[in-house]
Amino acid sequence: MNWEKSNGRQQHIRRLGNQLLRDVRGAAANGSHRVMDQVGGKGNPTASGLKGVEAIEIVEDQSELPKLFMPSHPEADANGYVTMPNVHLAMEMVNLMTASRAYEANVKAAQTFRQLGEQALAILRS
Amino acid sequence: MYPYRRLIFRSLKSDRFGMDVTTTRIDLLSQVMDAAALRHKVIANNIANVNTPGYKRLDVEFEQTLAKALSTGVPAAEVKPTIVQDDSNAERVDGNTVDIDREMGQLNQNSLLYTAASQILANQIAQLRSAITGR
Repeated sequence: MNWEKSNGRQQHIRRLGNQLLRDVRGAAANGSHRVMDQVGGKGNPTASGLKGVEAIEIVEDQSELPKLFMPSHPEADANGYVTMPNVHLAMEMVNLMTASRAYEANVKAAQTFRQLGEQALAILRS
Repeated sequence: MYPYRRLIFRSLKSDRFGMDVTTTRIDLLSQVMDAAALRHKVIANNIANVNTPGYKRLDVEFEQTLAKALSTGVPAAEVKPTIVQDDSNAERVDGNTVDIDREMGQLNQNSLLYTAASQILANQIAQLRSAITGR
């Protein structure tokens, strides 16, 4: 990808996005973080094989917890280090945006399905 | 993108024998609606898998086979829509080939196609009914 052309903010977001993708790919490779799975699998797709996606389980992020040197903190250990959560706010926001956009798209598909059903019923009414 | 206009026009042109052709036209329109409904299912599946790593987008092949069948004289009733894997899109970093904007466009296009077919079908049935009741 060409980083030079985009501005600083986009670069940052894209890097975060790529980091996220790498995380997902790495997790899928070692099989520990299978959040989503493709139902139907490989081979010739059939209409009954189209089952969308489902959440399999909620898993803990196993990445390392950052340690901060804060001796005055009540949670500090004997050496004065505090173990902070491994939540990266920017990455969470990117995840949140991705998820809500995907949700929106799926809602749109459901709405369209309803419209199509109504039209099919209109044939009966005419 | 879909050669429907041509197909429907052709079926209108061959309409010379009243009742018989009307039933085949109704068959053709319901086939088109079936294909559009299947395509909607496939597009919805693509949208659901927009974040699935390694997912390859699927599409429905119907129009080309129907056009071929109509031009070669194969009965159109034997044409069935088939789900195929679409490799024309570029892969993302995670191996997924779904482009969400393209899917939304196809969704709208497909719903218009379904609407058109269902309205033409409703018209056909209304005409048939008025021929029967004589009003």
